[in-house]
Amino acid sequence: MDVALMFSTGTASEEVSSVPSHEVPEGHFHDLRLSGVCKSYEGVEVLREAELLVPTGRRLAVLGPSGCGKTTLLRAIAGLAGVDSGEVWLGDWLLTGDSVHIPPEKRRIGMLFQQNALFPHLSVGQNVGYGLPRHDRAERVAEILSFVKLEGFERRVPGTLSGGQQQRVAMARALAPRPRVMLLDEPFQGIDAQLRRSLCVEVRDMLNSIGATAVIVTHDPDEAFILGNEVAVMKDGKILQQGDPDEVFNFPVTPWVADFLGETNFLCGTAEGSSALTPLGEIPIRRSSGGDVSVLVRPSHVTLMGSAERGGVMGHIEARSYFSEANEYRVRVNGTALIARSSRVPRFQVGERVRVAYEGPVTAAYARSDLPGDMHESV
Amino acid sequence: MKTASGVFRRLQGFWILLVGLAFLGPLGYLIYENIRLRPDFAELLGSNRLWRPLGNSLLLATTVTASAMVVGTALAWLVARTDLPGRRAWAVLAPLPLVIPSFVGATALIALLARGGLAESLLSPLGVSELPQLAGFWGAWLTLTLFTYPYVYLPTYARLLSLDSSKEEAARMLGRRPTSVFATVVLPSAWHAITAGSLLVFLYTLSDFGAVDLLRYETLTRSIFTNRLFDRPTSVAHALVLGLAALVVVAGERRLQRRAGDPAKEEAPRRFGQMQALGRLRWAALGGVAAFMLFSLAAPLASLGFWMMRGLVNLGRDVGVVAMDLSSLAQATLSTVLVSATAAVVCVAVVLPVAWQSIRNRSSLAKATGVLAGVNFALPGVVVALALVFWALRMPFSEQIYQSYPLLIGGYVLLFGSQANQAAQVAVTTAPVRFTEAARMLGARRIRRFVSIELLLMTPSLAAAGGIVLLSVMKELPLTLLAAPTGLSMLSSEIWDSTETLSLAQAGVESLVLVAASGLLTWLLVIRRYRFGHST
Repeated sequence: MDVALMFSTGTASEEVSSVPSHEVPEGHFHDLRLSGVCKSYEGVEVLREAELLVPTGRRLAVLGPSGCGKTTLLRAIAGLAGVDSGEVWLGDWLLTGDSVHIPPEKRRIGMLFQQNALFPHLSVGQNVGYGLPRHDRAERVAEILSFVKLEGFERRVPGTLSGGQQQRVAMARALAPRPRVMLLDEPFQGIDAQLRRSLCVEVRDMLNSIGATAVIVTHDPDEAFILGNEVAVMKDGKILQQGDPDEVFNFPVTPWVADFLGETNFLCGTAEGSSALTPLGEIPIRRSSGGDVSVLVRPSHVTLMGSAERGGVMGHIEARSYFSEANEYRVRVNGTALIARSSRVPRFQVGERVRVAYEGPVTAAYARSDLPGDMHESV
Repeated sequence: MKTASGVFRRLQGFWILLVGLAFLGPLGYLIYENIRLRPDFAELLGSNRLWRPLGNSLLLATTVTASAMVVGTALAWLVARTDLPGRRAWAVLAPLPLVIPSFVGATALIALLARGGLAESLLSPLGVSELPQLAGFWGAWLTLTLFTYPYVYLPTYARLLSLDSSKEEAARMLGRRPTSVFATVVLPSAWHAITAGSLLVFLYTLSDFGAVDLLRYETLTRSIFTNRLFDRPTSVAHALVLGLAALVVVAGERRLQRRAGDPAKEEAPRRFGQMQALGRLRWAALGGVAAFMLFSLAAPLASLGFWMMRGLVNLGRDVGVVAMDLSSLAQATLSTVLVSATAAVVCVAVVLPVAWQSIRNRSSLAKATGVLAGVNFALPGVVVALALVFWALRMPFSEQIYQSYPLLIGGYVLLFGSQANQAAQVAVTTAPVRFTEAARMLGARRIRRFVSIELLLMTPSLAAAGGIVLLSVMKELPLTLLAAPTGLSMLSSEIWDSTETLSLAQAGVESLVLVAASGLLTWLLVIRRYRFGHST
């Protein structure tokens, strides 16, 4: 065998997408619906009128800072936490509602826990078989272990497996009893950054190949965008925005959401129709009532060019930081400082004069008053 | 909401209430009897009949605690953190005096210095004819220090062993000398363990009856015991005072601990601490450790062994001090092991719901029951025993209950429920909620979750909890003396009889068997875990 091929660094997604989806029978997943779910702990509102709809076979990533209530949301769906009011529906089955609370063990919901929660005193086979009836246990365990590519691991003990393998066992355990929806609670916490990304893609492809309905909770925007067909951003117990990942990333409903999803510049500008005039020139914007606005500009959409090139506005480099793939620069243009990412080689020097241009999609603009006090426009 | 687990929880609540009521028994007895018998407190307070024994008890408890604290901490540090020669061997030997009950230790030391004892036969060739006799305050202080320091040593050793070295390194890099690092970093890190162990020493000494009685030092426990039949008002008044003293100390320690917090809970060690080179002091330290262990372990065992050999030589002959009768020994050993093991299992089973609800659901009822159990642990065995007998005689079917096995076991549960509760709480933390939740999400119901996940995860720590109770029961004297069914011979009460009648050979062999049995069992169940760190 070709050595290069043996050690090829093909991404996990390529490997897993070759798994035929018929290995795990489909069709047991349902849609999930939450309406008006409220929950307080000791007078603090953790969930405020939470509304969610996850159609069958879709994956929703709930994204938010720690303490925003996203884990409580997941536990309310699982039945591990009760709610004060509101309803949880799985297909046409009312799980939680007025005087209804189906206990978690009867909900047929698969869950991937933070720190995987594999039973340390049971073998891999016993872990995966834990939720299965006795008669076809061995067969189903073997089937599902081969689905997560851990054939023959039945006798191993979780403690002897790598972090990635443990995660796959946890996945197998949750999927074995044919759940109707999968819940993933910060599933990659405590796994090192390099493995995290490939594991994330692997899990996405597994869920995809079996047509799973899933809710994923995470505080990492990258994970949310990889795992979810749809992304919901949560803050202080409320879902601020839910939608297609592109839509959410490009048109965050508030500056806070924009900032939470990635690095931002907010340029002051004057809106007129579908564009705004900013220190970087005209930038296409979507929503505008005209007048003074703050325009969202992602650092990767700011292009830097040598001073001899054409186009853009003149500015100069104030500071520079190195990253593995791109450099981050602070540039000053017409008195405004803004952050730009550029992978151009050779690098610009501090003090060097450059041309700066906006090269990005139609972007979001906010009324000046929407910008919270701790978030500043570029000055 | 009516769910299966709701019913389960309510059953547990009911059980905890029952256990809590039972734990109120000894305190209730003290109050009831003091009201009923109306001891003349004015007379007691005005005379030396209360102040002397109370002063003696407090003096002894304070001095023993101080010396055990110093010795236990020093030994723990030397064995855990320095290049003391033979560290591994000392790590095995240093905790062993834990299994020697104070009255056995006192017996051994008395026998050592007795006429015809080991010390005399070793020293008389050197021309030493008069040996100092062990008695009074100094005798009690020395004996109790020698056999209680492991209560400080064990937790401190475990803590020092698992100390993260980064703080020490930071202190060194900031220019501190080793002694200063020890005082400012190491000692504060272990302080929680040291004080927790010291509290045990204080309570053990305060409630000790066997050693002080043998060494004729007039403490409260001794006066409670001697007055219990002929001057009951004085006895119950003294018992009340002793109980209050213990409670004040426990409450004070809890306040201190709460203010300090436990630093051990915050950190998970990445790298274990570095060894301190002792330099020239290395051999001096070795000498000190060896000399101490000579008195706390080697001499008592040798003394007991010496008398046992003398007894074996004269087996079957009636020759006073060295007479020996082995016929009852096997029976006493068997019943000791059986009764202690039963008490251990029952005790852990009884308090497990209490520990569970305290940790998992932070139930205030369970926590209150835990505090009540702590009250009973602080009460001397004499008091609990008297209370047990008192209530047994006032219950329906008292004839069946009085001096029965279940009553004896119940007494041990009352006395050692707190130890079991604390150890069981540790056990509950070894079954984190996430495993229960994972099992739930996989469809397991309450019973299955408990049996297949929680109980199995807790088993090693529950075994340790049982081991702690087992050891305590084997060492317990007054309760065994007062509440054991007639005809039941336990090793502890047999040793007591043999010592009182000065059958030193008989006491020697019985003591050695007791020490060997409890040593073996606690080594298997408890100490091993300290040595190799927590297995979770």
